[in-house]
Amino acid sequence: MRNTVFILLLIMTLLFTACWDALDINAKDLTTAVVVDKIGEDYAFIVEVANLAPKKTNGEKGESEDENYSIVDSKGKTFADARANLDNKLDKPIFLGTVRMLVLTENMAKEGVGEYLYRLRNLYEYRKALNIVTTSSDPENLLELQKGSPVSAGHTIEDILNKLYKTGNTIETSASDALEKLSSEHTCFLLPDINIIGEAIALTGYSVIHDSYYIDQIPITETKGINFILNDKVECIYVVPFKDHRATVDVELKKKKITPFYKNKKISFRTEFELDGLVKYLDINDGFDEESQREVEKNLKQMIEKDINSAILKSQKEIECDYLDFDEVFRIKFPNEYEKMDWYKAYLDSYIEVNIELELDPGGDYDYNPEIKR
Amino acid sequence: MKSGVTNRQIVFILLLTLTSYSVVDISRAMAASAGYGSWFTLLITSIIFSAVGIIVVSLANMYKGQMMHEYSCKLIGNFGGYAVSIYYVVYFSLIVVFLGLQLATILKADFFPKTPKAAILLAGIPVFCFIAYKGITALARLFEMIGMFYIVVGTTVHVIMFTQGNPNYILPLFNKADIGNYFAAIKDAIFPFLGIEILLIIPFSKENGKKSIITTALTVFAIGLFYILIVESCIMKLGMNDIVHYNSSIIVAIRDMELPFLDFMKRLDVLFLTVGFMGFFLGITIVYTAITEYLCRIFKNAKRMMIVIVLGALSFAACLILDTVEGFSDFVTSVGIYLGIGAGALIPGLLLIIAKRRKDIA
Repeated sequence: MRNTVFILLLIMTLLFTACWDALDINAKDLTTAVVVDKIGEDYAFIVEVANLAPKKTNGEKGESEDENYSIVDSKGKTFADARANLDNKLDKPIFLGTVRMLVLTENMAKEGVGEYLYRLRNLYEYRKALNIVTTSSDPENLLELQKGSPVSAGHTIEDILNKLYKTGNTIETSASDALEKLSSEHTCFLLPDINIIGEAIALTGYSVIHDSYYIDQIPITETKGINFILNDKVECIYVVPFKDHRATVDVELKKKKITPFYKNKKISFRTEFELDGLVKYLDINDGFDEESQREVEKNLKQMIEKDINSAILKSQKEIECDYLDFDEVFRIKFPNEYEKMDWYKAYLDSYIEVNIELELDPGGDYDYNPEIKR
Repeated sequence: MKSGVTNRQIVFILLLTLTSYSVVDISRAMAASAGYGSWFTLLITSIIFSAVGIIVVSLANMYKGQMMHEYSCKLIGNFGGYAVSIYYVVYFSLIVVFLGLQLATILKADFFPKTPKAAILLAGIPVFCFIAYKGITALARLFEMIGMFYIVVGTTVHVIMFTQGNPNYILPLFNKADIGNYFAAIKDAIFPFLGIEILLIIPFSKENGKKSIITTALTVFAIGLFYILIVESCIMKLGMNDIVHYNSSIIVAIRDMELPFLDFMKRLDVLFLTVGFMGFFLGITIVYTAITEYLCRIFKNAKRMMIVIVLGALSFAACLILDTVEGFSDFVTSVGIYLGIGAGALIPGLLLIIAKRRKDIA
């Protein structure tokens, strides 16, 4: 009996301590995406809230349709005002633990991403693993796209990023990553940019955040080189010209090494990329002889080298900001020298050498040069 | 009341007593003081405290079946013995109020924002006191049961955190130019190792033998390695520059984790709410037990039940009052280090020297 009382007391303390104010999941507005915008002088929140019991509403065309998600917006002179106005519109207490995506509009990012992220850091419900993206599309339209869909806009954007990240075709920046960058001496990083393309949500490139402010945009067509530098695993496709034809090649990054050097106060890096290429198909049925294979290999190598060099050149000469994380590599090898220098300036003058090693497999199981004996 | 413990139970008592609260903010504290060399500082500190463990257990082993109050009275006289016991009561009381307030603060800040701290304390203190009333042997069994979960869950979570974190955040692992900082940071690594003195309330028996000395030393060293795993994995998750902003860095780091391959438990907050807090509760409980044991020896005629009730009521009142005192936590973490060194190393060390000399003379 004594032991039973003892165990009961223990369990009560462990499991029920201070749960008296807990709310049932149905009694909260589960938020799946939060958009932060700046309209004129006002800050705006647009949130996507899951309707646990989908409401029947009349759409614009007067038809009856199910809505799985509600879009609620609010404005205010400060974030606190905007949040208070949002709370005034929501029928239940907001729950931010379910937010899958934080979307910052371009206008907001230009004003600085720092304040909102510091706010997020102290909102205990927010997950720090939450991904952040930017958008230049109308934020309400972005969320409205998924309103009737079984999958929220927040989840859709997260799924797109997760899928692309698995193959190294995008970068991912979580709130935690961004906060670490904002807390360090050298703040320059990328955020994926998401927009409406046609009638769908799509990744359209990267936004460059420098010292907390949005400064530039990198279109998706120019992100291949960045992905090779920032990601450990990259799988992508190149269409390589040879003679008068084209070969479509699957490229996979096998190994990457970036070595920093510091001699006579000059910073340099040697980057080495080991890649595998697999010819998927040609625009001709056969006749992929060794000479053509060598040409494809040479051209592909040049294409990849060009992509990586352009990415580096763009960061050093055009955008003038080290969002390629060369600072991390240098800091690890030369911590004392790094501490004394202004990396914002030092990076721009550094020399970065790109070396590519490519092994081309001309077709895997497929034989482009069959020996016909008939 | 039978009051012995096995060597195995000593391992779990040390583990949970030392790590219960310390794991919450050790990553922040070490990142702020030792930076990239946190592992080195913790390793050195664990070696130093392994030696402290050897002193404490050697002393306890010399007087089998007795607790510190009894043999300190024999070694330095009744007045000295009582003075030492009062010192330990004051020291443990300070720690118990500090831990109670930290528990309520963490629960309120990270899990139950609308719950008053007083309600959390009111639910917790009677349980801590009830277990303290049952004595060290019953408590040691509880330590053994929960300690197993604690080790398995704690190690698993932090190994996963290690794999999910960014290794660049903890590099370079060692910088010659910062070696002075690494040694200076030992001061900040002391607090997580305080608690070895809790073993002085355990009457050691023949069964414990000399093996208990080696067990204690190895356990303290293993706790140091456990701290290194926690600190490095939390820094890998949150980053060296950002982690210094979080007082409960381990909770933030665990919240930052997701296990996409586990559909039924993608987020791991629940693990800290159960297993982590179980360890925390037991850590507080053993300090209550220590105060009870000393008070029972000081007030020999008072009933144990009365002592426990008065202790619970006073600690509750002290928590409520000291919660309003600004800087109390900082006071404990700074002054507590010196009091802890006195309780864990200096007093047992002096008593050990006296005991050895008397033995030699005899």
